[in-house]
Amino acid sequence: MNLRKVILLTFFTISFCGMMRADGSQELRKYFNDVAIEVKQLENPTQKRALLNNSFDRMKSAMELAQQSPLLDENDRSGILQLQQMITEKQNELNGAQGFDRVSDVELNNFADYVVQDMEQAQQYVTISITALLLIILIVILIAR
Amino acid sequence: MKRFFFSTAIRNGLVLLVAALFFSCRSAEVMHTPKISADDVSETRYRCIFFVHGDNDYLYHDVNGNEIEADERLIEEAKTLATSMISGEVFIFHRKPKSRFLFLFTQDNIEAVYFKHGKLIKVESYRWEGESDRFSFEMQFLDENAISRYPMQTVFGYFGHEIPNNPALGYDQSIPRTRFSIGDIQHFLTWLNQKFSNRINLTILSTCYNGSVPTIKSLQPYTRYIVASPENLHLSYFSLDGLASLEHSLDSIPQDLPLQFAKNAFARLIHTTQTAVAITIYESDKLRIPADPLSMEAGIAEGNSKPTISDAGTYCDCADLGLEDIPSEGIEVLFRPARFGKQKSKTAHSGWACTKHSTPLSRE
Repeated sequence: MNLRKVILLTFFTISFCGMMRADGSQELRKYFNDVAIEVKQLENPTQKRALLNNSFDRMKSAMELAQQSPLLDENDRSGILQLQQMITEKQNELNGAQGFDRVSDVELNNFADYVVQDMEQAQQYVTISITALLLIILIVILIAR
Repeated sequence: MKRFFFSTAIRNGLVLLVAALFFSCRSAEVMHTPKISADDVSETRYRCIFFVHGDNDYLYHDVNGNEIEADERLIEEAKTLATSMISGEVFIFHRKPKSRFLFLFTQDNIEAVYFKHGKLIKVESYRWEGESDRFSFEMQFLDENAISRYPMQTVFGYFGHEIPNNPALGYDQSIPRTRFSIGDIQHFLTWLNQKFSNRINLTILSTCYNGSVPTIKSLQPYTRYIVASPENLHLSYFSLDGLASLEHSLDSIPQDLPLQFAKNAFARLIHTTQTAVAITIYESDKLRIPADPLSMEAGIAEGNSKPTISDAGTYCDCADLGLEDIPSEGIEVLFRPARFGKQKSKTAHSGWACTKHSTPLSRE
């Protein structure tokens, strides 16, 4: 086992143990909330839009990978798929794709709040196990590295 | 000998402590003597009863990015309101997650707070694990403390996640084996009507999607007005500010209280949220609800369209389903569409939440 793998495994274990104490769904909400905070701190609309796009891409990739995990059952996969669809729809709106009006530059802060609130509300009605949620968050962290 | 006596005393003390933790499931802290005088009766014109559910995931983020526990925030808001209600009495019941002290002793999970004439009178807690009726403690607490004056105006508010129309497991996250439904609220309101020989003036359901035909039909006989949301209500809940007008009314509950309350709640929600906001005021005596509420639930019962999360779970505005005979008399709707998303151009709401079903519903 090379040094890189050891570091990665250690990081993974520490992160996983730490997050087991927290609620996976809260971590997912925190992710979108952190993005909204960052968006509001930026001045440049292009940077705001890029940040939102990156956050969507990262989350969608994590969900894609999580769905391939043998740890998840059909309910988890279906729940993840629903969340993925929601995120895709938001990204389409952000960029004015698929018939959506493009979110204007001055509305980007409000749009970031909308993403936080809509995802928080959706999570009340989408059933995903804590294992699946934790897996998604861990993959997001690993992708970000 | 002295050492022996000391250790015996400690042991006895510990035994008493353990016994107290084991056997007491109700503890009270009395701030003022709760005796009811003739003055109390004449000076008390209204009563507010708030049920706040906290035994589930109620975390959300405000627009500044702060993490907020919705139930804790609401409790603070209710207590602040209660201190300004000089001519009324306020009962606040907070249902919290079951927890254990030192991993061994189950702690009380319902807290009752009683305010009278703006003063905190009593705080009492109780341990409930599903062994008795859901609201038996609340009823007993009200029975012991509420002023019985006839007629006294009453406002009841429930704050929590959507109340299921049929008994469902898992509403209480820490006691998942317990069931909960609108029937439990109906049972409580029936008791309240009988206890005070008076119909409730205003029932507030600060929950998601309870502005539906089955829910409103269940509560209609027990309350003159109901304020509820037919949409996914944000966890920041309805603002309680509108209830302050109870204090300014000279005699009974002002006629426009439900509307004022709803307008106030609407104003705060549209200011703080980007998602859809819909609040409906239902006037019970004017409502004409179909005899078979299932007909309003059926939606696209033939299974032509599979519900997706884009349609806000399995819920939607009844008008979007093209249903006929949607009750429109006796309701007033305050609506603002989501600022983004597919429904941002929606201009009106029927005021009723419908459920989409991919398979036909059975009528047993």
